[in-house]
Amino acid sequence: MSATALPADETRRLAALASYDVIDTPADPEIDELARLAAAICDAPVALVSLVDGSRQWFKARVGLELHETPRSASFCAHAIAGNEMLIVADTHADPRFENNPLVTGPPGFRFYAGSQLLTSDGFRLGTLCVLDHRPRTLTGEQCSALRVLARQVMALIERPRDAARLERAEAELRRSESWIRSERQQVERLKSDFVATVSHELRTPLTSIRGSLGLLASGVMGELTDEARQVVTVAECNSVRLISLINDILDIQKLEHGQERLELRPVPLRRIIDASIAAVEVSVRYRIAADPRCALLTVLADETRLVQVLVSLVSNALKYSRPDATVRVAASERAGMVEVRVEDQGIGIPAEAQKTLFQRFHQLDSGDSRAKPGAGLGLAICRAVIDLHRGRMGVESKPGEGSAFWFSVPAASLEAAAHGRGDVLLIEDDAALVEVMAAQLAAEGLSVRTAGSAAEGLLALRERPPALLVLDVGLPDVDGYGVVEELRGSEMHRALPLIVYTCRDLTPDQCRRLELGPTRFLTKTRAGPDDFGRAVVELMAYDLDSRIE
Amino acid sequence: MKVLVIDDEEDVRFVVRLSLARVGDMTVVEAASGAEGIALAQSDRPDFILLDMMMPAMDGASTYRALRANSDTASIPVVFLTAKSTAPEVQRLKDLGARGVILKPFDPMTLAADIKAILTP
Repeated sequence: MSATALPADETRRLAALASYDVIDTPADPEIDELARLAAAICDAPVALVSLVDGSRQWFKARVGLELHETPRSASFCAHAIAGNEMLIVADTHADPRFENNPLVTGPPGFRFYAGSQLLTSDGFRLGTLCVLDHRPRTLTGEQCSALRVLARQVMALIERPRDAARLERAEAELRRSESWIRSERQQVERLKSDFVATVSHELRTPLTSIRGSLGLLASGVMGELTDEARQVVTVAECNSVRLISLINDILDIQKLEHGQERLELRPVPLRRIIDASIAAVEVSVRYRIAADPRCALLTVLADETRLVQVLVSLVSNALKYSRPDATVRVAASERAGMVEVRVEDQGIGIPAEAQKTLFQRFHQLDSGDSRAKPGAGLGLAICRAVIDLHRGRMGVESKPGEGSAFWFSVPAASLEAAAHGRGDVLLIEDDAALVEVMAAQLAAEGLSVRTAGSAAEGLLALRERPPALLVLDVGLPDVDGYGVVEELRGSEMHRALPLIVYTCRDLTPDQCRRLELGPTRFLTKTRAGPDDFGRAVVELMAYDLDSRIE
Repeated sequence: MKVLVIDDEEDVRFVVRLSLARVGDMTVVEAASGAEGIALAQSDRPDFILLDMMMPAMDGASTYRALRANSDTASIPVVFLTAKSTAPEVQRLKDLGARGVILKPFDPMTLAADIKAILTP
């Protein structure tokens, strides 16, 4: 028997073979099938899927042979993988390489061998799909082609588990990376937020002394200053105040954009917001501000303090960029459940290009007007963040030289608005007469209403489809209101549901706590009239399950 | 009207003292730490205490609790002074039992009036 030449890349080939983790694994029915097909096509009694490791050839599939493996030295395949082509030995007795091969000289006495290499996608020859016969012969061209095709299929099957494992590992790695990135990002956001809060706090303490000292000096309580000295101190004081409002704005936008701000949403007459805003800016201004009379009729669902802040900012900006004799108009209208407020000026206007970045942080408009006091460029970003939290929209229309109209929309506070595009109200109440009254009140405003006369019926309706608002009586015939709330708290879909508890009794604080679900209001039947009920519905319908305003 | 100012920042105490004395016509006693403040509250019996929140060692909250726990000082109204302006922080201080909260930086010309407004029921 002649010594087998080793493939040139033997070390790496063995590593590649090991990486498939296929040696000594159980039979694979699909590979067995391909071996049988090879035997049938080539009309051979024996077909093998042979993998050659450092010391032996091991058969992943075998047809017509009892052996599971042989030493590498007795292997035909070791020769086959050393070359580049398919190895065909027409007669082993005529080939000196096999003259001492025990498989040739003894049983099973092979005379014919044809092996097609099992080539990995990286080009390593792991072994062969081979057919053997007990008589000298050869293969037709078609049989050779078929053997090559089948060998490729065998290789694909061998590679499959490794590829799947690799894919799984890659996916796991990806998931780990994603979760790492997520947690890093959260950490960065936390650090950023802490940093801003800490720095702002640390700046405020020295500013307290600076602003305080300058204020006392400028006011003259420390003694009269010369005109020039007072001017110097006033410049310093004004700028310390400016620095303080910058720090406040930075903290404010940080809070708004990071969900650290919880809005207090209540129905508020728009007129009150406009009056408060005009009062806040007009103190020091000679300009005219005209409010649309229609504003008096509208009610918005808003955080009053925050909405006043927005309007003050818009009106101040409008005045800042207007001529002294100009009028700033505030107009309002209601459409599709939203109230739109517009602040129109006849000022210098804003070029289209600048409008795109107007609401970004630290954006500043070059007014070209020396009267305009530079701000930090945070005002409109804060306004946008406040309006976003109201789930409203904000924008600007402007033509240079003609003026600008800044507008924003916030939810209207009316039953009609509540009905617009939102879900229905579920009434769980056993007093049929009361149900009729409440349902009629809601239906008259265009709200869809479902009713249930018992807890069981109510829970069924809740499971079928969560409503936008639940109205719940406490004293029900089967399970009481506490039982219903407890059940709903255990359900992911229902635990944040807006709830009106409508009850005959006055409730203790502890009872109220036990009846709370999402945003919850308590009404006592004897005291709360239809208006109170309507107001509570309006307020709570503004919440919806997908995007809660917080 | 006598006020006890408890703040670890000497400069802040200085401005508060000038502001309350010159503009508000108050008598001001100063303490640089919570412990010193508690002792002065007992010995001097001020009409109210202006208490800084962020102080080393004994912070405003601990100082406040110690003042409340002592029968000699329990009834003296406390107004907190803080540089943390967030709504939850202000609410936390009110929940502690503070009469009111003054935010830093304050306007020295209105500080006395703001405090009087807080203290007037």
